[in-house]
Amino acid sequence: MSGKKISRRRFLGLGGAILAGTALLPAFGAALLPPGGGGQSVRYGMVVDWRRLTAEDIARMSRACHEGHNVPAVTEPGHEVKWLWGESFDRVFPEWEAPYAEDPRALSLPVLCNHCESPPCCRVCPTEATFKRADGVVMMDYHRCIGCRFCMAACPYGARSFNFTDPRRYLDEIRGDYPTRALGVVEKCDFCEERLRLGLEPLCAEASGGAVVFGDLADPDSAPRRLLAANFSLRRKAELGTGPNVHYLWRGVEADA
Amino acid sequence: MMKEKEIMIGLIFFLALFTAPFWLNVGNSVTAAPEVVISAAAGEECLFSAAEMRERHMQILDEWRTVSVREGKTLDLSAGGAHIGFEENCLTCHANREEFCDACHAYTAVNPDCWDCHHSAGAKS
Amino acid sequence: MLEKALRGGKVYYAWLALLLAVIAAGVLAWLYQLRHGLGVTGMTRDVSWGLYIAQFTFMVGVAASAVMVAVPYYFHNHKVFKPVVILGEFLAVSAVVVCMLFIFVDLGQPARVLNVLLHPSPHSVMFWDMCVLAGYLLLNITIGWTMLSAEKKGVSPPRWAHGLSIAAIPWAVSIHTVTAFLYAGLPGRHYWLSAIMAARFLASAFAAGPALLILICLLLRRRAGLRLEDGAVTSLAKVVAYAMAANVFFFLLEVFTATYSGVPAHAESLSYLFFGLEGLHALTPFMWAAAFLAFAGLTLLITPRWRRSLTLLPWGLAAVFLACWLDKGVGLVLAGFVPSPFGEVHDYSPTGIEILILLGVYAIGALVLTALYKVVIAVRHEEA
Repeated sequence: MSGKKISRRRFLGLGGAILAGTALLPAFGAALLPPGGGGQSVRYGMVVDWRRLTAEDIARMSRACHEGHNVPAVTEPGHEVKWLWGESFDRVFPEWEAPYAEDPRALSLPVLCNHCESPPCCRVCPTEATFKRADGVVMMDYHRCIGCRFCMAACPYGARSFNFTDPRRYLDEIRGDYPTRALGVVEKCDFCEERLRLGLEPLCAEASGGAVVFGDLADPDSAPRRLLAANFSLRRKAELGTGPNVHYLWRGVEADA
Repeated sequence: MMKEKEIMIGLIFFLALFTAPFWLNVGNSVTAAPEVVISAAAGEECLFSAAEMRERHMQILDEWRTVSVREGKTLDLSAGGAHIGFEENCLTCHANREEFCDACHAYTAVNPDCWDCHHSAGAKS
Repeated sequence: MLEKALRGGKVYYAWLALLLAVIAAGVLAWLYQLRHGLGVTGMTRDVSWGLYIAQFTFMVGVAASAVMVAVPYYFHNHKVFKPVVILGEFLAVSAVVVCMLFIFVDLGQPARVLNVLLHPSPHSVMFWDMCVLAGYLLLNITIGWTMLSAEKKGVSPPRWAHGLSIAAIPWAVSIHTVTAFLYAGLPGRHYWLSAIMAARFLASAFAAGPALLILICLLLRRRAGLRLEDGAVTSLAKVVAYAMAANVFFFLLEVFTATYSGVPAHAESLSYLFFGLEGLHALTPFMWAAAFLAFAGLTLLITPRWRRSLTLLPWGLAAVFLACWLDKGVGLVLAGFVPSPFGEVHDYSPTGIEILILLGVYAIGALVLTALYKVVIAVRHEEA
């Protein structure tokens, strides 16, 4: 009888150990991060001098991006597909409350994928359809995406869109040199990786009239790094530890003066 | 046994179902394999021989999409350092999708989803 | 043995016909969704998971709850559970089938589902969830079937089956823990980003699962001649009472942290669930119903006299089951998306197509369960 009791206790111990092991496995998994990341020599990033941008400027940038990448202009509410668009200050930086500011809603900022240093979307993707390249670009492999939308739940920035409907139906004109997407996959900004290959800057930076500066954040002499060295800047929800690579220059009203 | 009848009925039903494609196609004439119509611009050379392409184009394209999307590679060394690109490298010459691609795919009843996104081959089918 | 599932009375055939009809409707609805995309559901870019994933989450709990019969039977030699052990395992089998189908119908590109195996990604919790769920399914089919065969032959089950049964216990805990990790590891979703999530999941699973199991057993005892002692029913009901008390306690811990700290990110989802936010309150009736049912169910189950009454007990169990379903199968997943990353509030309500698919999936689970339970009962009648 007592022998039985001991074996039961031993079993429970063993079971507990197995359980703890199972619980820790995903944590180990997180350490086995997707390829890329460490030891990189290039880290693409973006500095947005948003005080220089009006809502019209942002709309122009958004148009350039969406037309250039065949992003469908889905009209049904909740099914929109967006790579870069404008949001008001209080929505982009909800933690930066400014209750006595005149109207934080009047200030508009462009938002897009932050191409995080430690992207939660890549961590959760069960097929590595979204992954971080060595140069810092968080890529989408539309061939591999199964459409589970785990990345959308994981992204703290709402930067990802799912193709709830057939995207072709919402494209008046399909640009020939860029693919469209299929129904049922997730898509987002990829820092215009097709242009980076050719040594060009992203379409939004080109359309921003100089207010968006793109470059290598690992290089202290790059244009974005010099801007960041000379100015105070913000990143969206940096407290979450994702390490966003899109920086918003903080310039007060005096900058307008 | 009582079950024998039921088993026989089941077997006959199964055989009928299983061989249905043959019965349904009795009398239909066999269509000949379509000829691939090549409309390549004169002087341009293909990356691989026609025989190799016929046999392996799906693997080549699959490999290309992986190395170009995931590894950012733009050159295919097995093709003599040619630029990787289904659209730039193949479809610029072979722009007659209906004859060049669809005819065989339809004949062999395969339905590749390339066209869901890579549309620039012009005509839709 | 499986052929025994093909023979039954009129009611049995009518039940099968009903299930098949619901499945057929679900399949047609799914084909429609496959053609037109997930836009035919109520999901949006803001609430990007809906009832499918919520049902998946809830049913993983039902699957895991087979342990609550296995632990007393194997570790505490609680013989009265003997006839229920196999039923618990088969409930787990059909629950896992339902879980897998809910994941499948939620995919935007279902044809590519095997990419998860083709490109295994150990950094993704979903990959681990798939592994543990598949393993759990295999374990339970093997154990249940082996034990039933032994029962049929009137011999004791082989020793390896006993070993597997014991391995299945921590495994069951793992499936729900890993499922909780799907949520509890996401930055920026504050309703889910909570260390107590896995514990809460297990507590609600160990309340809802056994509650369902008892209800089914009581029904089968009355209508299909399942032999089961009252002792098994009341002692399993005790398990439900304890687990539900723990579940409610864990939930109240969340409420305390959210309200006393006053940190908006912690409080917003809960306020949305119970009071609505920015004038949107699609979920408030469900959550108040859940609170009421949890309270009523606990009262019925905790009071010994009522728990032992076979007329009141089913009501208590049904109340607990529904409360858990509303909390986890509706509220938890949907409220995690409120507020959105931009601080916006978006209601979600499922479409008719979505509900047809949901019913179809549940009907497949019920069909699997019916067939398995039919075999169990037929085998037991035969040996008697």
